[in-house]
Amino acid sequence: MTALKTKPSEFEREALSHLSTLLAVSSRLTRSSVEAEDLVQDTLLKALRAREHFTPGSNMRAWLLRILTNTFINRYRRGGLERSVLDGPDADPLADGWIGASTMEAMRDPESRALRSLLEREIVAALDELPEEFRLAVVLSDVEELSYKEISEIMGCPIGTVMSRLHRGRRILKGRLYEHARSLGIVGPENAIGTAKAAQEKAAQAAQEPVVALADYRRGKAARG
Amino acid sequence: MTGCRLVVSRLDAYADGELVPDQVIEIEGHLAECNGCSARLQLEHATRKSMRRTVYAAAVPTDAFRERLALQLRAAEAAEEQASAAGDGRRGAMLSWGSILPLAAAAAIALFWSKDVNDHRVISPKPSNNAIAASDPINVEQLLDEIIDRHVDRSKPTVTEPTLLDGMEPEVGVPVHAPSLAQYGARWEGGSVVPIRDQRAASLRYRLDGHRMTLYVFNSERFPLNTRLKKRVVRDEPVYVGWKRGFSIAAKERRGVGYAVATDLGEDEGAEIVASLH
Repeated sequence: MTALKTKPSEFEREALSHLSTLLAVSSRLTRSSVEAEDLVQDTLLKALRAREHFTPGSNMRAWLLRILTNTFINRYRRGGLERSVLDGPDADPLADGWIGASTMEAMRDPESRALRSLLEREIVAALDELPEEFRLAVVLSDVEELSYKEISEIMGCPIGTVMSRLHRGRRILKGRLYEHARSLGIVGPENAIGTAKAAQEKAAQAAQEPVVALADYRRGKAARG
Repeated sequence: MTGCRLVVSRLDAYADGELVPDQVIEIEGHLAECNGCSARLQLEHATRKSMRRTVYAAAVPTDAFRERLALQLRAAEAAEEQASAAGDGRRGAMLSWGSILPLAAAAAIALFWSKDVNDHRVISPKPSNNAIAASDPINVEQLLDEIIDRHVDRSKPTVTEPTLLDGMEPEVGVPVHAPSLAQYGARWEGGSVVPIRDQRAASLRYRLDGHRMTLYVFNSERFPLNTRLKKRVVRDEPVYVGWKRGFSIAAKERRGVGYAVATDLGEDEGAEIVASLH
């Protein structure tokens, strides 16, 4: 019978140091604590088998997250992440990020801890309602603070796609949180929107933003390169 | 001065640290003079901070999970090393996991359904013997552990309509039906496909007399249960029974399909139910 080593290998030690990250991302991808553990387990066993392909000294967290994402897609989603059915500008009050300063102040600093924890509880629920491709982009960027380039490698899509997924995901998320803050009375309705016409204009303008941002990014890249 | 509109359109990329220096300077110039936009930026930062905190807080790994992973990684590494020792002197990494699995599966079949549970201890030391690592007692314990983990898990079954069960066949690889078991007073509650070790099994939930019971249906070649369970004969059929964490487990193989029952009822009841399946 196999005698198991009692000491962790270098790989085991390093891989398990990213366990919190893997489980956090996995939980938001699968939205189930049981499946999240399964996915992390599969990911680590796959990573172990493929460890010759990992370049020591490079970013193991991003490498593991890529394996995790691929494993998720292969296991649950033959053929890719669940796509968004949302198309065109949505009518959320925060759709374009133009809200009054007092609303932002209120959402940023709810006076009491209790209010903040109520708002925070809503974050996971709001995230879980996002379509997968938005949810993963938002988690990898806002929670894991990975660069657009790293996210594009993990999700297997161009950087421009990462940016538009992030943009739309965050927009929906903020809309949900704003609604929640309003229902809790943290912010008042007077901060919401102006006239219907103004909202329409803003939504139309918001729809242009990803394109503008991408063009900016390309220009920036050309300037850097 | 750069307008709010342009700044807002780039604020995400700015907070993400993805702008080039010229753009950063432009934005920071505006932020210094515009309270509205600095409030937007602060809201950005505050939202992300809250998100990091809550997403991590919602999924803290338990010590048990961490230990299980460590054990599995070590078992997998040990299996690799053994396999490489059996190879022609090449380095361990050269012999891939893919080439170990068929060997392990072959060893597992031989083990599971051999007449005597202890047979495998005297299997001749042929090269394939090195693959036994995949079915050594630790891995079988983990297998039983997962069977119990799945049994105690209360998440909702994905299928509650019996006619939909055959949709599980492609995933599980064997025919899946929910036997009625009404003769035991059991009521079927629903089923799911569950991952156990690297494989998938159908998990069928029953309730009888206030007790919960899970019937697993799987490809019998993949689950070497009998290395740990004791053989007994019920209705002229060999059945394997045992205990794990206070739950009884009874298993059998029929025509290449494996069945296992996990329940808080006794081993006799489990063995009887599993023997009745056909």
